[in-house]
Order: sequence, then C-alpha cells, then structure tokens
Amino acid sequence: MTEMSTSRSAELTLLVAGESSAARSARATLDTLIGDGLAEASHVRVIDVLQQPDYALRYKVYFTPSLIVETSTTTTTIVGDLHEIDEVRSLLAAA
Amino acid sequence: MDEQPQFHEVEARSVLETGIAGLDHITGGGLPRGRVISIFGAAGAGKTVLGLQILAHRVSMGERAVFISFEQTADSVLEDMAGFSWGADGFPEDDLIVLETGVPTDLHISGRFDMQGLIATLLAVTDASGATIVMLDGLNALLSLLLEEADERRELLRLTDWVRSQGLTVLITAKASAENERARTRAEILDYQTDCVLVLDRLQTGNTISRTLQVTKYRGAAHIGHIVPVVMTHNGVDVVVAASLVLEDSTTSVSGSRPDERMPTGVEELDPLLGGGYLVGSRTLLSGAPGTSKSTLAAAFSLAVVQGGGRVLYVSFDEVRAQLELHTSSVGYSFREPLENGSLRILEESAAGGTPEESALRIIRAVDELGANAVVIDPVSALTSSGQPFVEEALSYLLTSLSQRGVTVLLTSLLHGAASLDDEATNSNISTIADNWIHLTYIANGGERNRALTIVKSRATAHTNQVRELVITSDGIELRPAYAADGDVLLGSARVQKEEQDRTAAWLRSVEYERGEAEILASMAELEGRISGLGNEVDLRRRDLERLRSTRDGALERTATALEARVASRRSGNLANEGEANQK
Repeated sequence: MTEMSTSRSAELTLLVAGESSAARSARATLDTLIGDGLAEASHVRVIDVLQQPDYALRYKVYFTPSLIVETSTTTTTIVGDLHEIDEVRSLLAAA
Repeated sequence: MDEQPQFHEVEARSVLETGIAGLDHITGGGLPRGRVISIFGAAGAGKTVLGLQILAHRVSMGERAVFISFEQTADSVLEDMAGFSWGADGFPEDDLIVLETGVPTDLHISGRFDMQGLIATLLAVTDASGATIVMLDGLNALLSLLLEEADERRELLRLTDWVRSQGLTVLITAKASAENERARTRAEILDYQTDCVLVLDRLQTGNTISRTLQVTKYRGAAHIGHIVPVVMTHNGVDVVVAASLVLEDSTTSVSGSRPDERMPTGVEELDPLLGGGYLVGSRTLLSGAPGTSKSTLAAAFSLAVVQGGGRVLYVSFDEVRAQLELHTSSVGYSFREPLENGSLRILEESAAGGTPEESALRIIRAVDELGANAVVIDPVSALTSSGQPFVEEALSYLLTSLSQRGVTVLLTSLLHGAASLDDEATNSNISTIADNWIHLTYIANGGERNRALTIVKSRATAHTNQVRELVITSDGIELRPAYAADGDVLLGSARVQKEEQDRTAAWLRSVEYERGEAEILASMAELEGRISGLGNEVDLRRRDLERLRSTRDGALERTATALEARVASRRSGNLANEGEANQK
C-alpha cells in the first residue's frame, strides 16, 4: 500500500505540553499507529515543549499537541489531540 | 492604611517609558511593566509600527526585546522598521530579536488543542536572550485557528497568566473589534484579560484622515481616556498632546532668559507701548482683516529678532515663500539676507494638505532644526478654522511645545468681513492663550481707509489702550498717535485736519487765557489800591480818634485841676475871710 509506505518512511515528532489529557490522547493515537504498522517506532519521538522549549521554537509550534510529519520533501503539521484515529490515518496518508 | 489603597498601588506601579512623549504623558509615565498590553486597531491603523517603535525605544534604553509576527516574515518586518528614523540604523540581532514565525502552510487540525506551544516558544526565546519585553503581532491569525470561542478565552487566559508570572511585558496587537462577531468577542476577552488597552483608529473629515489613539484601560493607574490625535511620519508614531505645565515652568529657566527680558517688536513706536517689546517666551496674537498689515508687522518683528542675533521660523500658511518675500520687501522688510545666512527660515504650510496636528509637529521639528528663538505663524487662523477635529489639541500642543523651548511666538489671525473683536474672542480661544493681543483694523473716515492698531491686552505689562495709526512708509511701519474726538478715532488726513483745527482753537484759547489773566490782575491791582487807600483813611480816623480822646482827656484833667484849685482856694479863702474877719 502506498499509504503505508509514505507514513512509515516519515519522521514523526509529537510535541506535547506536560501531561494533559490531550497529550495522553495524542500519545495513545501515536501508539496505535505504530501498533497498526502505520508508523515506524524508530522514526517517532515525543517531546514535552515545557521541558524542551527549543523544539517549539524550531518547529514554530504554538499549539499543543502538534504532530510534525516530515518526509524528504514535505512537512505536515497535524494539530490536536488526534482522538479521531481515522482522520489522522487519512491525513498521514496524504502527507 | 486601608483608607488610601490606591495611592500605594500607584507608588508601586512600575512603568515602561515608550519614548513617545505624548503616550507617556497620557499614561502617566508609560505602559505597565510586567503586564499584558493590548493594541487594538483596524488594518493599517499603525498597531505594528507603534509596537515596534516601543520595542526599539526599550532596546535603545538597554533592554532586550522579542518581536514575534504571525503575519509577516522577519525580513519584511526589518524592512518596514528601516523606513523609520528610529530603525534606519538597525539593531544588534541579540538586542531586538525578530522571529519569522507564521503559521505553517500545511497545517491540519484534528481534535482539541491548546496554546502551550506558544508559551514554550516565548520561554525558549526569553530564556536564551534575557529579553524583558515581547510583542506578539497578528496573534489573531493564530487565535482564529482555535475551534471555539471558549477555547480562545481559555488560551488567552493561560497566556496572560503565564506572562504575568514571568514578569514579562507583552504587547499584543489585535484587529479592531467591529470586524465580526468572533473578533468582537476576542477583543472583549483581550480587553478583560489585559492590564492596559490602547485603541488606534482613523477619523475621516472630508478628504483628510486623522489618526487617533485612546487609552481605554489602564488597570491600577489614572490615565487620560479621551481620544487624542496621532501623527505618523518617518519618525513613527507621535501622540499629539500638550505635555504638563510643570515642564513648561522648568524649561523657562533652561532657555536662560530673564523673566522680564524683551524682544523688539521691530516697530520703534510699538516697543514702549508694550513695556519695551514682546516678553521673551510670550505669545502675541495679531488679529485683523485682510490687508491690515499683519504680515508686515510679523516681518518687522522677524527682522528685528534676526538683527539681534536670533533665529526665526516664519510659518506661512497663505503665501508661498516667493510671494511672501516679494510682499515684505516691497514695504522695506527684505528677507533675502537672513534667508541666505540661515537665521530666518520660511516654512510653507498648507491648511488643506493635512491635519492641524501634522502641521504642529512639522513646525516644532523645524523650530528644533533651526534652533529658533522666535516663531511667526501667519496666519494661525488657517489652522484653527480648518474644520478638522483636533484643532484645539494641535494648537495646544504647538503652543505648549514652543513655550517649553522658551520660543517667542507671534500669531496672526485673519478676520473676514465684519468680524469683530468679540467674534475673534469667541470663535477661537487663541486670544485667551495669548499674552498680548494686538488688533489691526481699518477705520474709514472722510473717504480714507486708514490702518489702526489697538493693544487689546498685554499680560503683566503696563500698556496703553489707545488706538494708534499704523502708517507704512518705504522704511517700514510707523505708529502715530491717533486722534480721539467726540468718541471717534481720527486717522490720516482727517487726523491732520482735526489736529490743525484743534491747534487754532488751542491758540485762541491761550489768547483768551492771557486776556482774562490780565483783566483779573488789573482788577486785583485796583482792589489792592483801594484797600491801601482805605487803609490810609482808617489811619486818619484812628488819628482823629486819638486826638479827640486826648483832647477830651486834657479837658477833664483841666476841669479836675480847676475844681481842685477851687476847693483849695475856697479852703484857703475861708481862712483868709476868718483872718479878714479877725482883722475886721
């Protein structure tokens, strides 16, 4: 599936702010995606911007949680708690 | 202590000078430090410029600042800033950090989120740089991505709370509230959540746009809440309000002039009428109909100041420079030399070209550039009758700023048609602002129109209130005493004729006096003669009386003596008779 290959090769960075419910929801979605094989665990990282504010500055992330999807050619930002997994799946596919 | 809580709060208030004198004045010293300040305004109202200018000033004062734009790129912000006098030289990157942010183009939203990323960004930048002041420009672009109003409220609250906890001063710009429902709500939230709110706006009058600023909120401090005029030039934002009077007093001594020092009026006969000339730093209003020589008097003053080593700014609203030069040189006041040596500058202003507050700023700038110690504004009525909304503010700013600089001011005011002194006094309040008020008029008499000058008022100076005739000769202006007769003031040939008549009458009167005096003297001499004659008569009578009395006294004496003699003789006679008898 082309869908799978795109997201699997992408670098995923989830930026969260502390341990909010939105952060927990986003993490859970990310875990599901990895479990589904839609994302490669080695290409996924989670960063707390309150601990490492430089990342917020670097990615121009003002909203949390934010999932940054970087391929060799594009950068897509998905903002929100990602609780609608299907929606996230299709966004990832489009990335 | 509970009785005066507000005093304590004012004392404890830490302010941040903006470097915009008028804004600092109306906010009682500056914006609240360590607080959130909102700048509202429509697109193009100057929100970004105002914020950048404040940051630039703080940087020049040794602080570090961060500018985060959500609408513009860093390059375009720097480019905009370079267009202003305070930004032309640029700033060290570490002192004024401009962040090229912007919302990512490929952004999707899935689910609920908050703005803690922004807080993390601010934390990162301020921690690394040590910046104490931050501006968030175009935050509404970011806020509009929030899904619901409740989210927006919550996130703004989170942001402002965090800012306060950090002791940061944050400026947030936001679009004017009238745009749409969401923007209105956002403005309401910001208004509620922030400590100080500045509203920039524009006001159209005819083809002219006046910019305005209003401090609608300043928590914990007194502020001037009315709408004040703003001018945008290459110097950025200027808030046109007259600064405090305290400043005015302290700078009078700065100018180094004695309190009673005077400047020549340029008309020899006028100086003594004003106690020696115009007081240095005073304001004089020259009012009159067209052609009553207001400009000529102003030119005479200008040249007198220049000849005394001063510098004069001549602001001409009606005439272009060439016209003014021609007009004044035709009556003996040539501007050529002082213009060439730079002691006189003509500033051509047009009342139609802009707002009075813009003119006021240009005049003050020109005064500072020239180092002028006298200013002529000819006519100031071009400003005051412009129909613009901030005439009073502009005039007050202009005159206060000139006073602060110790500049002597001559204002001419044009009165049209049958406008009287009363009209001048009521239509403009210049006459109350002015220390001296000289009114020029035409008086028609015997087929002539002659110019007359009256000193309506001259503050703190003994002055004459008599009308003088103003005569323009090839050597300039001369004042001649006017002739008052039967309640009329006579000028020109009527004055000459009347003077001749009166001279004859006076001669006749003097002859009469002489004659009368001689008559009285003669009559007095005659009376004195009579008095002396009567005196002699009295003496005669007195002598008669004495003679009479002495005669009477002599007779009595003789009678007494005779009686005594008879008694004696009788006594001796009896003895003799007795002897005779004895003999017989």
